[in-house]
Amino acid sequence: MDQQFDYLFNKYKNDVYRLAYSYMLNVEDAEDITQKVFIKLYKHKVYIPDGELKKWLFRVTINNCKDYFRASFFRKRSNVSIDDLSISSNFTFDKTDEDFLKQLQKINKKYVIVLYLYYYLGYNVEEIASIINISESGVKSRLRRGKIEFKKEMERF
Amino acid sequence: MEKFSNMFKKTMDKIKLNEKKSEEMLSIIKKSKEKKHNLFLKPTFASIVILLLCIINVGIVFASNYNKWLTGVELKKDNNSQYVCGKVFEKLNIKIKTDEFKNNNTYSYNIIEEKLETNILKSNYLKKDGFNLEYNANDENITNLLLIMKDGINRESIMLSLYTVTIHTKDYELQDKYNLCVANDESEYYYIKSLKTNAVITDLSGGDTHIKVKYITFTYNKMIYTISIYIDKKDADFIYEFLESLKEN
Repeated sequence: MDQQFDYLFNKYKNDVYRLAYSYMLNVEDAEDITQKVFIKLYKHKVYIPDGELKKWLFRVTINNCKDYFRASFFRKRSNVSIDDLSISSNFTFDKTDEDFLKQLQKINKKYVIVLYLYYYLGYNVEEIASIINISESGVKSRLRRGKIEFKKEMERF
Repeated sequence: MEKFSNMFKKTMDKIKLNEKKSEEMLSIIKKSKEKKHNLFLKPTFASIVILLLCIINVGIVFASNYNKWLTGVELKKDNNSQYVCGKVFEKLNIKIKTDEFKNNNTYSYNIIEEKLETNILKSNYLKKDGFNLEYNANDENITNLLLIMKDGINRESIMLSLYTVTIHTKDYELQDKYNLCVANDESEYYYIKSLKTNAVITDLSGGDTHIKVKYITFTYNKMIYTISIYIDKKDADFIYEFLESLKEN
């Protein structure tokens, strides 16, 4: 049981962490959320088939991110500029990476998730729709708008 | 958009959970399951348990004092049962329509049970079997009753006349009735004082060993009530003499 969990943790920890980070853009929050997601998996008594597990993890991660974002302590802190947050302290970001993350911070979170799932993890529209529980046309719409917003921010930058 | 995709990948690939943090996290995750929650320490459960204990405690205290609270007197299974009954009526100020219990000997019991919606009276004090007629119906008590009735008849103020009083002698088979018996205290006064009547001795009849002394019929709120006493034949003479004297008065 523990060995299986260790395997799953090591296999998916970074995907979960990245998703949390792209949403929160903060190392500590992303770590907290990752930990919560895997605690939930560890305590989860129902077997989840491997093919579904990744989607399940992302779904839980997104829900946790939303909860975190809604939390009062986070809202109080949300006015802080990304420059003040430790976006690069743990990673070897270069200037373009930091710029990219700053653009990402400025666009709507719901677009960030869709962009992450589509462009980074390579899920198709149908899969994304099932993960975030919206219609396929909704996913397409978010992808389109996300790209437009991101492009605008890039041009503005 | 390929550029965007590449940029996304390039940046995201650099985002990794460091090994130290990863091990620490794994350790915390595993401890989370080992931690056994004591059910009794869970706030919700503890609150419910405390609340239940409080309710039980209050229930015990309330139950132990309920009789006293309800009646104003300590309920005891003795010959003062009817006194308690009277007090209950008084305390609760139950309005009784006289036409409801015309010719209904069980009325007093039923109305109490119905009004109070409790078994408290039923359980010990007004139960048919718990009503110690044998104890109550002695010569002395009958005498007292009659004296009090006489007293009641002579009074102007009358408030209760709601019971058909039936007294059985000790060896008379209990009838399916709830009886208001006499006792040696003010209880009978409470009931009997209220008899406003143009009392008439109407009948003397009985069986082989007992006599049903249908000795008073009275009018109350335009209704006619009868008080009956069953006695041994050996007591009949005494009663008869007394009733005669009552009639003369």
